[in-house]
Amino acid sequence: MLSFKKKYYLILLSPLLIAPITLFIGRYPVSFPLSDPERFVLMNIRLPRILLCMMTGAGLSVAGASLQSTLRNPLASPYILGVSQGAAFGAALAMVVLPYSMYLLPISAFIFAFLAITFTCLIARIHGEFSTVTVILSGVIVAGIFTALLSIVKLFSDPYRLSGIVFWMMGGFYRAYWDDILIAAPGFIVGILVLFSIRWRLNVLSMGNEEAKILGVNVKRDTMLVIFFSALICASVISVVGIVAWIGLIIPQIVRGMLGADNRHILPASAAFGAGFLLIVDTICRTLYTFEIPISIITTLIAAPYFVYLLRKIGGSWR
Amino acid sequence: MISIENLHFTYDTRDRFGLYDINLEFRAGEIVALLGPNGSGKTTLLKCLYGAIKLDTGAIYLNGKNLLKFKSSELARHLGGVPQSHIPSFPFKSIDVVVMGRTPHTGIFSSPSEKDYENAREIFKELEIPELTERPYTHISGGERQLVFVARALMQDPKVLLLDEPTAHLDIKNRVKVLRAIKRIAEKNKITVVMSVHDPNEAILFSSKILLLKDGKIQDYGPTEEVIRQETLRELYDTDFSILIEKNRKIVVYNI
Repeated sequence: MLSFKKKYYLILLSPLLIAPITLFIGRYPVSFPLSDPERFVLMNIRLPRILLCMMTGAGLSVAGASLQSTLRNPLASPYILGVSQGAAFGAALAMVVLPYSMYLLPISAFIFAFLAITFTCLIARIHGEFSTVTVILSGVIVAGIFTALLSIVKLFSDPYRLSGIVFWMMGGFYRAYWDDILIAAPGFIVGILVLFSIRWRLNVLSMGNEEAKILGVNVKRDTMLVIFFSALICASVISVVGIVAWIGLIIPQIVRGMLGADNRHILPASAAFGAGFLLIVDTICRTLYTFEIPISIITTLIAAPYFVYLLRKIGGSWR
Repeated sequence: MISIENLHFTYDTRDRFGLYDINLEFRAGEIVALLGPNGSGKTTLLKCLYGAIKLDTGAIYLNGKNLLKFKSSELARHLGGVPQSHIPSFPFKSIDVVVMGRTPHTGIFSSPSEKDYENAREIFKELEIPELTERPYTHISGGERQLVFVARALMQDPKVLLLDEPTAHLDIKNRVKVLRAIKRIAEKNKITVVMSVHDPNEAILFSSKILLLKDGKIQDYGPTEEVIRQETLRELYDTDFSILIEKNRKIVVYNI
């Protein structure tokens, strides 16, 4: 049995061990010394893809862990707050209605992802207070609304674009260029920095509103802070790569199972584990078959059985 | 220390548990027990004191300053508290929960120091629960958890300790443990304690003053010896009481 420290540092290092290996795995064989096309493949196709993939895995996992702590709900995730559905609607709108542009799609997805979280918070705020239940319920409402709006867009799109929407909603890193990283990076970096620097405060918030208040926390402000920056991260990566299911939900659960509850360790470990995990999944997606498999298919097929195992093991009490 | 003037409060949705015309003063170093039947407003009064609810009218002053004027962290450096119920969250180690008591002394971007952890271990020893230190607080008994929360409130280093039925789920051994420790620490550090209890005998053992609440109003407030009387208790609980005297101490017995 590994000691806590060894486990913790092993998790932190894992993506650095995985990344160099995946760089040399792919349908286009690469060997030293590098030829010009090989260098192009590494530098402009695989490297940005690996970086974007790690950002997505880390970002969604950190946002998931933070939301779960703050809302005291182990099932909280970007999905629950309607962020994913908002982004999906924004992306579909860009594909069907707006003129084609490489930048318009992620920007539109980002705007609607943020609009969704804003609605969720506005609806959830009753008498100036947020409660776990109202946040989750209003997330369900907002997700429902954006799913309906998405259906309208689908209804009016031609079959060719419809398949584009469907493919986007399954997520993937197939169009990862340096430009995409530039779009996702600012929100990702700011969000991660803020959440990392308040990660001990997340512990206190997870004690519940009343107790956090007794302990001197400005609960309303801090809850808003966490929701805002989690949403910022999610919207930033989802708007570029599409919907990546289950990562924000499952990674914090796995990491908590290994390291306990303290967010001082859970946040960095979730970031590392999420990055490494998604990198492996993406490598499977792009090498398993002659065409690329959308990433959410594989993440769901891996995560769902794990969730079943978790459910059987702890009998539905997530604590 | 704390004075309450013309406090009036009712919940929007319920007409029970309100508070009406409360005028009170708690002095420094006093240990006050709140007694009263269920729904008499004990918890509501404690919530008002730690600023969790907005008063309809009236005001509460801490050292002459209105509670509303305090920043939440500043207030938590003066008032430590243990709420009545807690829904367990994630499996934090007990010591991590106790160290959360340092929140009002710790900025939002920082976390507690090694020294805070040392102090927390001292408090575990003082409460005679060192064996709980490393155990997840979700996997200890309700009574033990209550002790952990008392330890957390003490970590706040408060001038006033507000405890809502801290002995509710404890067996007699643990009751004595908690009460003894709180009393010792309160007397040593001149902490004012306001604590709701259900057992008048506990109030007699523990407190210097007793506040009787019924239907959201003050029925009586004064030194323990004076307040505990057969008629007042009968009126308070609508129950038949006898009071025995053993070794100069009043013992309250109720009859079925």
